[in-house]
Amino acid sequence: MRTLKLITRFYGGIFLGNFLVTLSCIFLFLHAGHDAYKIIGILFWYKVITIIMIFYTADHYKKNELYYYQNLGISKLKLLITTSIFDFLLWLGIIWIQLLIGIPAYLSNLFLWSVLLIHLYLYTRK
Amino acid sequence: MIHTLEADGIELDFGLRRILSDVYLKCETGKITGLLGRNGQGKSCLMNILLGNLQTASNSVRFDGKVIKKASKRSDLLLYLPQFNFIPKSLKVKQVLDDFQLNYADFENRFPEFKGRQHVKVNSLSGGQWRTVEIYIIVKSPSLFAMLDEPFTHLNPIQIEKIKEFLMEEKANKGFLITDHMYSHLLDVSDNVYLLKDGKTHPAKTIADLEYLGYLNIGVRD
Repeated sequence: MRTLKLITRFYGGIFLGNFLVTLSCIFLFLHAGHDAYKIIGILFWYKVITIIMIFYTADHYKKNELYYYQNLGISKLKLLITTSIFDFLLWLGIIWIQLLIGIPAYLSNLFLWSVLLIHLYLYTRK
Repeated sequence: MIHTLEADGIELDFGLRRILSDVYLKCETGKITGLLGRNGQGKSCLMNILLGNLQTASNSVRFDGKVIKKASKRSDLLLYLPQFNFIPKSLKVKQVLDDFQLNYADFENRFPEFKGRQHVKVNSLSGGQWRTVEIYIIVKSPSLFAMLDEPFTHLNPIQIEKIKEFLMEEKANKGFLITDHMYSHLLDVSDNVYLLKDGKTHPAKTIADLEYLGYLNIGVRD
């Protein structure tokens, strides 16, 4: 439980970047309309590559903080694997919902702005 | 039971420059081992090799005689205080202690200046207080050994004396490997000292030894 809490805390720091990528996939899906299934391969690699890029950016800018997690028994590799799997599953879930029922564009917009405002609020609180 | 941390056969090169070549280091629980050396001699690199964070052509790091390649994955064996601040700055002091399963009341008793400051974020503390929190969590968390890289830096003289007292008490629970440029404080608390020079470790006991080995030039030998 403690490990999960710590990994969640680390993920919180890279969530926004990853989530913006996921939302951009939804927008591309919306624009593709009936041909959406044709671009799913491209979106898959787009997501995988951005997950790795965002983690390595975090590794660069938060490298000092990684010693905190290391001293708590959570290695960089464990952080990479767990946050990447979770984020990919989140992406997969949202894409699946989009494929099955289709999220209206206004709802995606509302969701995006809510996430941005929450992050802005949390950032200014820091 | 006394546990040991030994390292030898370490070779580290950066390009054509050899940093470490003939290192032997032994730490024991219940003792403080000091590591001195001028800038760029490879003290922090050596600590990262002991942790397994830095890969080298060859090395042998042994805990109780057993080779451990990645001690960084074993927080029960070895903890590390890097020379820079490592606690995420958005965390509150109590959150940090909770993460390491340490009691805030014990911390407050040891360092009374933190009384009522449990909800203060670490980045709102002074540099010395921030460092004190970091030293406390590494020293107090259960593990066989702890490596402290420049623990006295950023601390004022009163804080240094408190930390020295704290380390002397806590060495009963684990073994310490400490490096710092404040050699007099290091000599005060250390049971044995190594000087890292030209890629090799040299045992040293007194200020005269350090001067003889060329680390100091303060005229002790005259």
